Amino acid sequence: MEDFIARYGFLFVTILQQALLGLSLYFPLMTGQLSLASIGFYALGGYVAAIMGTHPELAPLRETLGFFLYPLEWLVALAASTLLGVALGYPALRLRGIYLALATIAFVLTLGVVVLSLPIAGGAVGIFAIPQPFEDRLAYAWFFGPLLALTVFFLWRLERSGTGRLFFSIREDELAAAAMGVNVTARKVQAFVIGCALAGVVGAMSAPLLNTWNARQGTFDAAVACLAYVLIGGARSKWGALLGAALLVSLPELLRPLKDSRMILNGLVLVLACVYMPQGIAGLFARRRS
Amino acid sequence: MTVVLAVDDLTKAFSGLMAVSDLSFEVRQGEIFGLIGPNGAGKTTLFNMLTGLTRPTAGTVQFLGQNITQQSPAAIARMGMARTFQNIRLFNCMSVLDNVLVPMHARDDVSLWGGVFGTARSRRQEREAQARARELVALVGLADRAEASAGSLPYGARRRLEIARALALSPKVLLLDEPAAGMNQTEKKDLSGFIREIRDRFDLTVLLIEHNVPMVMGLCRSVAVLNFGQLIAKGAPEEVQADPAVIEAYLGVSDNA
Amino acid sequence: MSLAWFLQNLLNGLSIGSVYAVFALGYTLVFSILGIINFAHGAVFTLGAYLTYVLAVGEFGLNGMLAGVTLPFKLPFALALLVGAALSGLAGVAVERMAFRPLRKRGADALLALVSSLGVALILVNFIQYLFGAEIYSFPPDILGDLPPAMLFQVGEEFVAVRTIQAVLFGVSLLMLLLLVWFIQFTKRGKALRAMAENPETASLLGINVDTFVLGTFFISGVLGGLSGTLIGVSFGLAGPYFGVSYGLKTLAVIVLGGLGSIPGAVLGGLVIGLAEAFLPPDLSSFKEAVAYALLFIVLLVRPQGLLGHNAEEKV
Repeated sequence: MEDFIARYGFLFVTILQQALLGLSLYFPLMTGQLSLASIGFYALGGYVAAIMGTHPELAPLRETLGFFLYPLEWLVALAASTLLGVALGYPALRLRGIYLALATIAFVLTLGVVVLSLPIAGGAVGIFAIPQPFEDRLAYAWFFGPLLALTVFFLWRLERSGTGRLFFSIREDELAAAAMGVNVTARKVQAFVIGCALAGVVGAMSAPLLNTWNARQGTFDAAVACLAYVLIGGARSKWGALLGAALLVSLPELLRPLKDSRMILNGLVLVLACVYMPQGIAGLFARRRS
Repeated sequence: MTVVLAVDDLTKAFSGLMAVSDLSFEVRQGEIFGLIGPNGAGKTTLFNMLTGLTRPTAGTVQFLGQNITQQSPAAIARMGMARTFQNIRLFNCMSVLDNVLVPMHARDDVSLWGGVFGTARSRRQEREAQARARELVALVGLADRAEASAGSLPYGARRRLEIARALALSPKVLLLDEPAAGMNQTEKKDLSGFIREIRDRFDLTVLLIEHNVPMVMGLCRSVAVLNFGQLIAKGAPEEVQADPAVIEAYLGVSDNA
Repeated sequence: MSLAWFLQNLLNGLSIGSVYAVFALGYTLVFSILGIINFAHGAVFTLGAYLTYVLAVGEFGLNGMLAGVTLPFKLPFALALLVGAALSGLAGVAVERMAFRPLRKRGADALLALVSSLGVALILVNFIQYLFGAEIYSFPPDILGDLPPAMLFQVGEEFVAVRTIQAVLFGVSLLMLLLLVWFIQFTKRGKALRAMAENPETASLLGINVDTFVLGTFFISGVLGGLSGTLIGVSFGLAGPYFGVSYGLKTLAVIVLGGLGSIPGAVLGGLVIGLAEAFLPPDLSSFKEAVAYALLFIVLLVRPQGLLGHNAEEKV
């Protein structure tokens, strides 16, 4: 039983965490923009939490705050990601299509190299022994679960609001949206920054879970994996990211022989999703309904 | 009658090719102003410059006394310049009602947080926008399809929905790019009546690109004729129709005259 | 800051830059006729390096599925390079069939093709890892036969070292560039290729078989990728199956800098990045990787059409 919880508890928490990362890509996708920047913000948030959790000069702060250190880490990560998101978003979101995708990839890669050379981020080895609030990894569901619920609720409200309709109008036809008075760049930045902020908070929550944080947390591979969740699940629905993450994280875990070839599976899924079902799994359900 | 729209020496060159050159004209409040000319004469390019989607190479556009030449499309639209597109550009996967709601949300510059948390101001804006959107959808005869997706509508209905969406901006000037394309005679007649009706009801000034010469002649009090990007005639429909340059360039070629 | 220092860096920059140019041309050819970025190009680069290694050395490392297997033959390096490149070309063809053709037939968005090629890259790289293991491979020092490792030239008081590898890098790259230019400018097929890059619809009206040409382009692109992979591999070693992906990402900077789809742009971009890396002050060497990425980022924001690209206005 303990073994079961140890294995599947971590799996469950990972699904929640990866689904949140997938959702962070869904926000810019609401305005039709493919951005791979999320993973950079995830890394950033993780570093914020790792530094706040381990830096010697912050020891008094940690003692005073106790458990409340963690919510503070999330807030700081949120603020940092939002600021950087706005700074990146305004120039980058004037670009479209592949140019935006390339710019966000370049951002992630540049960030990766910069982090490696910052002493405070621990260089190539990264930051070790990040304090953990829970012994049991399943308990991290108390972090990710409410955040996921909150995000889905937020999306549910957003999609039914005027802002949601403006986002979708840009996705449908950017030029027509502009001609109808939609402030296209500002709205894209809004969607983009929410995605960045979410990814930052997920990073801040993940640093204690993983105990160590280093430059491997913000790789190109991880960015592509998040994209795979959204695409297999369906880029036009918020449920897509959830379904995709659940499927792609658990499949290699459940089918043991696949474990070593997790990335091959992700790749295969990307190709098949693009070629055979650009609407994703969630698209299948939507089609049946209408 | 006041001048609503004044175009002065407007020019657009696409990599050396003159799409529109030195175009000047004025449109007065309440007019239905016709723009005719053969394909490729630069009519749509003119519309794109008026709405800010294409930057002019030279010249200015004055709208309600303001120079809007360097303004963004969104800002121009919110000042009250609305348009339809020649090749219908609706938000296809969104519902009929949502299509009409978009320009209103854009005008209100709705708040993201207000919408998510349901503030009083947001709720009021949403209520008002919904009510007005339903009116406009009913006006173009789509009340019973309000929840259908825009892309699923038949062709004629999509053209009407595009007009409803443009009206949702509460425009001063409405630019219609070949609204009668693909319609039969009865539909064209209905459309003429409809354009007059909305002009009177919403106090509009209308610019109309149309290939169908009888329709333009019946509907417009002034007409401008473009050929190869140049204004070759301008005036009352009867004068223009008699102009030899026009007959040669356009009417002579077309069977519709 | 002596003359010798300058010449040394110039030499280093030109030799690596010429390989970047060849690699970048693989992206550019595909982009110019299809308007898509083939992310699997970096994986083909890796594949080329590994294939040449196996053909020339005859062994598979220690960790992969094929650990301990030896080939019954060893090819001379020049031959292994050619065979490796040709096989990479075939891999390029396979990539086209798998990831691009179905999307092209459907007229899908360029962005979808980009994602699909990312998928193929992931499959290829991890498949290589599965077979060859994740360890670092390096070509034996005598791979070029009895040639001395370097030659020294005296410049004033100092020496400039020309590594034999550098000369090979530069020579092979230059040869490839000349061949490509000749092919595109002077052969019938090359002209057809240019016609397709200008306008695919007209090309198909002229009776050009679009499918064959796309396939051919992917073959050439794969050859260029595999070849440059081997050259980089011989010079710096094969740092695991992902090394091609990181060179591939770096080379994105090259093509964006030069202007997407522009052949002279790719060559210029390659040399600029190669020289920029070479002339980077030693105390900033940890930022070497960042040079290309930062350039890519800045060029995209400031001049997305690149140095030699032209700004296309969107049709309404």
